[in-house]
Amino acid sequence: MKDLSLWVMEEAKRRGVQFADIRVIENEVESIETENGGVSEIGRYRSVGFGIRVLMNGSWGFSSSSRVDKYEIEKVLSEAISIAKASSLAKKEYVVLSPVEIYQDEVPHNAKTNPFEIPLDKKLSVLLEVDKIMAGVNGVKIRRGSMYFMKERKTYASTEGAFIVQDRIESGAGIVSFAISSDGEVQRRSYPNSFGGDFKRAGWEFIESLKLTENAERVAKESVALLSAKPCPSGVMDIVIGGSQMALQVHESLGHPVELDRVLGMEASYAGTSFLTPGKLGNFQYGSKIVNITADATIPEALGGFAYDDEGVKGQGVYLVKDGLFVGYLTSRETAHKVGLKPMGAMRAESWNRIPIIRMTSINLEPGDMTLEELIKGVDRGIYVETNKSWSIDDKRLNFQFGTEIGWEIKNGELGDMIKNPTYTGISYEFWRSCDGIANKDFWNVWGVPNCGKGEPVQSMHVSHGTSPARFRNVRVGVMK
Amino acid sequence: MRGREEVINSLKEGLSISSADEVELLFLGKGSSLTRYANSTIHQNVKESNSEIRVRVVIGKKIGFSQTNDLTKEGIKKAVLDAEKIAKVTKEDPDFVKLPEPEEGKDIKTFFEENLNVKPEDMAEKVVNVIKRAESKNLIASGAFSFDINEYAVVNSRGIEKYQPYTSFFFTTVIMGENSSGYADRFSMKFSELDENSLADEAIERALMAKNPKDIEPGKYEVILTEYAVEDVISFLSYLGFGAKQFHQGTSFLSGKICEKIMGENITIWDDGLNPEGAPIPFDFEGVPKKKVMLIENGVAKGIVYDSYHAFKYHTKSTGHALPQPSSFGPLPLNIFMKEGTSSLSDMIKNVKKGILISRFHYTNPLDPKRAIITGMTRDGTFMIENGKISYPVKNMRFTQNMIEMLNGVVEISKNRKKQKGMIHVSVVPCIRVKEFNFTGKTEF
Repeated sequence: MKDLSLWVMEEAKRRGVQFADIRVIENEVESIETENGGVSEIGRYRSVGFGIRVLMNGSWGFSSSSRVDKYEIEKVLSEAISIAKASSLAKKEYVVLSPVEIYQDEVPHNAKTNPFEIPLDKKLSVLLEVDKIMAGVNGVKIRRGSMYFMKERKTYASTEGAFIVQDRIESGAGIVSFAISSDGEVQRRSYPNSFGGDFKRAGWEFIESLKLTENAERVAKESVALLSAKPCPSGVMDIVIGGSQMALQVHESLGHPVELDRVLGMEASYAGTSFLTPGKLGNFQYGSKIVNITADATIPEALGGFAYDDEGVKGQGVYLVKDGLFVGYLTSRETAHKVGLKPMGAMRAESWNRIPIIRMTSINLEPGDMTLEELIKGVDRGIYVETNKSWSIDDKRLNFQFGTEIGWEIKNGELGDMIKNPTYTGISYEFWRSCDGIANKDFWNVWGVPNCGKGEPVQSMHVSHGTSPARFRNVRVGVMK
Repeated sequence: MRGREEVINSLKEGLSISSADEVELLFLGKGSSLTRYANSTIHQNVKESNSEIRVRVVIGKKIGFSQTNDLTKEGIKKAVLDAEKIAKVTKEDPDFVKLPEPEEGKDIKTFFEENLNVKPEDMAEKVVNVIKRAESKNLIASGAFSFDINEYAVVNSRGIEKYQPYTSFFFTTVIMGENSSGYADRFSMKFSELDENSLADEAIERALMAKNPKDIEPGKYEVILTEYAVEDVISFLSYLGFGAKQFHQGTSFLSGKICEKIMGENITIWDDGLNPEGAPIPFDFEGVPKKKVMLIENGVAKGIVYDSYHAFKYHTKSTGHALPQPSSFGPLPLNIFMKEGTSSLSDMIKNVKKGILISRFHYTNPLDPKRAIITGMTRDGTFMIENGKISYPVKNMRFTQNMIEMLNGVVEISKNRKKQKGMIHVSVVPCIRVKEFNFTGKTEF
C-alpha cells in the first residue's frame, strides 16, 4: 500500500496539482444484536477502498473507489483532477491551505484485548444472559442488546511528504428494555446509554467494564415503573442533567456550532449555519464562569480521539470555551487561517469514499467541584433527568429541545417521585449562562457517540464527550403536550 | 458500472460456494457524483465507485450475515465462508421459515442511458446557473446536486435472480439573504428533465419574501404546510409506524388500530413501488416484487408493509418491502403517496383568516414515537397569513405536535403534488391546510 500511495502522490505532483492526498482504508466490523431471547443480527462486514483529494487551480476535487490497484488509482486521480477543474467553474476564491508540520508515523491501536480474538459465542452468551435477566422482570415486552466491534487500518499520504499509518479498534455495547401498558403506552430504559450504548476506542476490556449483567434488572424494572410514573411537570424550574444527556447537550449546543466550516456557511444548505460567528470569538460570554469546554483528540480511549486527522494534522487539545468565554473553533487547514487560527486537527471522513470535513473530536465539559448529591441539594423545586430519548435544535444551533428516558422530581433538595417523558428546552447561550454547578471528576465519563451526522453525502462520525452531571437554573421543562 | 451479466455471475458464483441450507446474495453497486456549493461557490465535488455484496446464509434455522466490497473470487468466497462460520455459532431463530421464492414481477425502466454522458462540468454548469440567478438578486446560493448510478441484484438458493440498474438526480438549493432564506429541490431520473432555473427561482422568491422576519409568540395557530413540510411528516410516520416490526411489537401508532379511523376522512396514504409518478423499483432487497399497500384510506388504518421474515412470522405474504438484510428496522415503505385534494396553495392562503405558512421543517425528531409526537423547527421561510394574504415573514419557531391529531384536522389539500426524496425513500405529497398546530418555542432569526 505504501508504494502505491507514494507513487500516486508523485504522479499527482507531475500532473501539476497544488496539493493532493490519498487515504487507503481497510475496515472490518462485527455486529451482534439480540432481541427477546433471539439473535436478530450477527454479522461481519469488510470494506476496503481509497479516496484521492486534489486541489488544483484553487478548487477541490475528490474521487474514490473500492478497487485498490495501480490502474484504478491512476484512473481515480484523473477523475479527481477533472472534478477539481469542473469545481473551478464556480470559484469565488482560491483555496489556500495553512502550512502544517509534516509527519511520517505509524500508530498502533490501543486495545488491551483485541475483541476480534474473543469468540463470537462468548459475546453472544453475554447478551443472551442479559436478555434472560431482563425477561425475568414482569411487564417487560421488548428486550434488546447489542455489541459492536471495529478494526481499521488507515494509510495516509500527501504530496507534501506525509505518510501515516494508523490502526484503530473500537468496541461498544448497550441494552434496552421496553415496557408497554395495556392501553398501548410505550416506555423504555437503556444502559449505559441510549442508541446503542457506550463506545470507546478500546478492546474487549471495555465491554467487561460496562457491567451489563449487573445493570440489566434495574434497567428492566425502571422501564416498567415508568408506565405508572407521574408526567413531567410543566413550567420554568431548575434542572439537574445526568452525564450521558449532558454529552448530547454539549454535542448539539456547542460541538456543532463551533465547526468552522458550518460557521463559514459551507453546511448552510443541509444542517445550517451557526450563531457563533467569527466576530464573537474571544468576546462572547457563551456560558457561566464555571463552564470550560475543550476539544481534545488526545484523551485515551475517547471515541473521538486519534493520533492524526484525515489531513495529517496531529490530534491535539484546545479550549473552545474558557471560564465561560467562547475562545475556539474546530478547524481545518482550509478554514483556520480565515479566522486567524492554526489548524487544530478536526478534519475527518467517515470512510475512504468520503471527503474529510470538519468534525467534532472529543468535546468535553471539564468537571466541576460538586457531587451529584450537592447539585440536587441546591434545588428547591426542579427535576433530575437522565438518558437521551430525543433531540432537536434550530439551524443556527440556538433553540434546542431534548427529551430524556427518565427523570425524578426534586423537592427541597431531595429526589422525589419518578417522572416520565421529561423534556426541556432553551436557547443555547442563555442555558449555559444559567449553569451554576458541575459534578466533579468522580462523576465524569467520556461518552462515545457513534452516529453524529453531517455533510452531503451524509457522513456518520464517531465522536465523544467527556461530561459529568450539571445543574442549570430557570429552565423551561415539560414541553410535550 | 458492471452490468447484468457480470453482477449476476458474481452472485451465482457466491451461491455455488456455499454448502449452507439456504443462501442469499444481494449486490449493491454505486457510482455516485455529488457537487456541493455554498457561499455561491463549489466547495466540495466528489465521486464514489463502490460495489458491495451482502450475504445471508441459513443453516437449519441459524442465520449468519456478512458483507464485502472485495468482489474478487477470493473476496466473495471469504464473505460466504464468514457468513457460514457465523451461522454455525449463533442461536436458532424459531420464527425463520425460509428465504423467499421467485415470483413474477413487472418490468420497469429505471435506467436511462443518456445520463451516462453527464460529466462533472455539466453538473457544475447547472450549479453555476443557480448561483448566477441568486447573485442577480444579491442573494447567496448553496446546495447540492447529486447523480447516482446504482445497480441492485439479488440471487438466492430458491431461484430468485433479479437485476435492476437505476439512475437518478437530486438537486437542492438554499438561497440566502442577509436575514432570510428559501429552499427548493428537484428529484428526477433524467438529467434532461432537470430545470435548474425553476429550482433557483422558487427558492429566490421564498428568500425575498422572507426578508426581515418579525417575532411572534408561540401558541396554537392554523397552518399551511408546503409539500416539503408534509414530506417530513410523512417520512416520520413511515419510519415510526408503517412497518410490520413496529406494528407487531406494539410500538407503532397503528398497533391494534387496523380498521379504526385514526385520521381525517380526507387522508389517504399508500405505498406503491411500481408507480412511475414516484421513483419506481420493481422488487425489494430480497428480490420480492413490490406490491401496492394501502396504509391509510379515508382516515382508516388499513395496512402495513412486510418483508419475507415478518410475513412468515405473522402468517401473511411479503409485500416486497424488505430493506437490505439484516435490518433492525424491519420492512419499511419506500415509495409513499398521499392522495391529492382539489385546492391549491394560493386558495389555501385565501382561506386563512389568521395563520402561518410553513415552507419547511428542520431537525424533526420524535418525542413520543408511539403517539407520533414530533418536535422540530421551521426554516427557510415562515410567514404570517392574515385575512387571506401573506402579511409578513416571521422568525422560525419550534413545534411540538401529535402528527396523528394534525392529520385529523386537515381542512384543505392541494391538487398538485410534488415528488420528493427523503433519507431513504421517495414520496409524492400535496400541500395541506391544518386547523390547529402547536408551536412551543421560538428562536432569534
